[in-house]
Amino acid sequence: MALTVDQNNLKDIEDNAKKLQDEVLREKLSRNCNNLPSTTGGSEVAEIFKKLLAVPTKTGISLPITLISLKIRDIFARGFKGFVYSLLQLLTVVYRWIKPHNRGKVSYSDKLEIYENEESDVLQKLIKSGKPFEHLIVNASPAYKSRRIEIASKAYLK
Amino acid sequence: MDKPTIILATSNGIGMGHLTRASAIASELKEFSNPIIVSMAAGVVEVPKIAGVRFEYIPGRDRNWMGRFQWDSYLRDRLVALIDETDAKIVSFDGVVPYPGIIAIKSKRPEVKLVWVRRGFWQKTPQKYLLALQSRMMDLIITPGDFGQSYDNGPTSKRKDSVLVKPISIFDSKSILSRELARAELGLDKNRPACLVQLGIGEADLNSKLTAALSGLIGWKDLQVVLTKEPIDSNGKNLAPVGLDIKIIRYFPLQKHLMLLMLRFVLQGITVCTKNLLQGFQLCLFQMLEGLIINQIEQNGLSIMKWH
Repeated sequence: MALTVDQNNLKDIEDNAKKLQDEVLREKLSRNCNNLPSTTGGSEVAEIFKKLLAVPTKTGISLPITLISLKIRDIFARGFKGFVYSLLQLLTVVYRWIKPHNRGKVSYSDKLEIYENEESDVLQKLIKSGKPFEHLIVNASPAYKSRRIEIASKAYLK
Repeated sequence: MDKPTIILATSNGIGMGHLTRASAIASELKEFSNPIIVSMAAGVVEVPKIAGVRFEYIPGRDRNWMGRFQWDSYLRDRLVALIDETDAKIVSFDGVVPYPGIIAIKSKRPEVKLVWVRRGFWQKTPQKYLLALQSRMMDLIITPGDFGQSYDNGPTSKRKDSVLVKPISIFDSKSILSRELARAELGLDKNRPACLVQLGIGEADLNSKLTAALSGLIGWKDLQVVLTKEPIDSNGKNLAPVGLDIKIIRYFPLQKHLMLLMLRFVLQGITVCTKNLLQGFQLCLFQMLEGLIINQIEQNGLSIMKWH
């Protein structure tokens, strides 16, 4: 068993939290946790990646061709529903083309700051400051640094 | 022979789910490869503590350092530059939806394999219309397992294009501290009961839920209430009711202290605590979930809380 809470009902949340003061209930809840399966997904993914490294790369993935083939399938192979969906999608694209989402004011920077370390305190401050900066992996090559400066300059320098 | 490089990119979610998952995978990859984590989450600064691998912070689109389309190109160019620098063979992306900048890597470096760690529990939003396209652009899709997996009725649940793995967690039973050590490290009284309340703060509805949960704990004798954030709203108003002994713990990851496993039920972006939760540590974790999910857990005879 588990405690069930309707998260839109504040009274329900409070009442259920109150139930936790009961030691017997806590024990009961606690015992049920032992029935859960293991969480070994990380090592499974690592094994999958190991095998993937040895497999040839999928070639011929082309965004425009894939998009067109999916569109054709949507329109002709999914009946009336597919056709209506496609029409709605098209209308949405046209609408957003004319009236894009409001993305807020972009604040371009006039200087480029680079940080090449992993000290969490310093990095945390930089992230919180809101001012643009470039974070580089440690031991980066000069060629990489210069490429990163180029990319950042193009993207957000005034 | 040098180990191959694998880049694990994550988006900036509400919590630490994507980054935590990438860190757990990175820890496992170290044996035969050089994993590098790149993330838009501010929590990326904690990566050395969790996974002990190199990392980079990438500003998310929401930071408004540049326009939307410029950001797409910026993301693509940064990842391509990192691929060239490290000779990476695989780029894995853990995020709800891969950004155009991620998919565009393929057009620049087609020899690099693109993997999408695509969690389930998608909501039926217009995003689902791009799902087929995004999925087709990937060399491989991995679905991290979830205890409520069989109850996922979202757009990804019927697709046959991914490999399902067990739930992914950074929990490691070998690194668990004893109750005494954990409490000492976190500055908690070693004898009094403690309760960790880990709910989101920010939006008005989240704030009121936190207040309601805390109110339910009033009257619990000698209780120490542990929070991971100051319980204040954007105007500085205290969200905690009077009469509680509140301690703020800013520590990540808490796993080794709490013997705690967490998974994300992304339907609501709410963390579900699972097996081994709080073992050896008299803490409780109170989570609010959508009724549906809780019911599913109940049917499986599972619990969301554990005490010792």
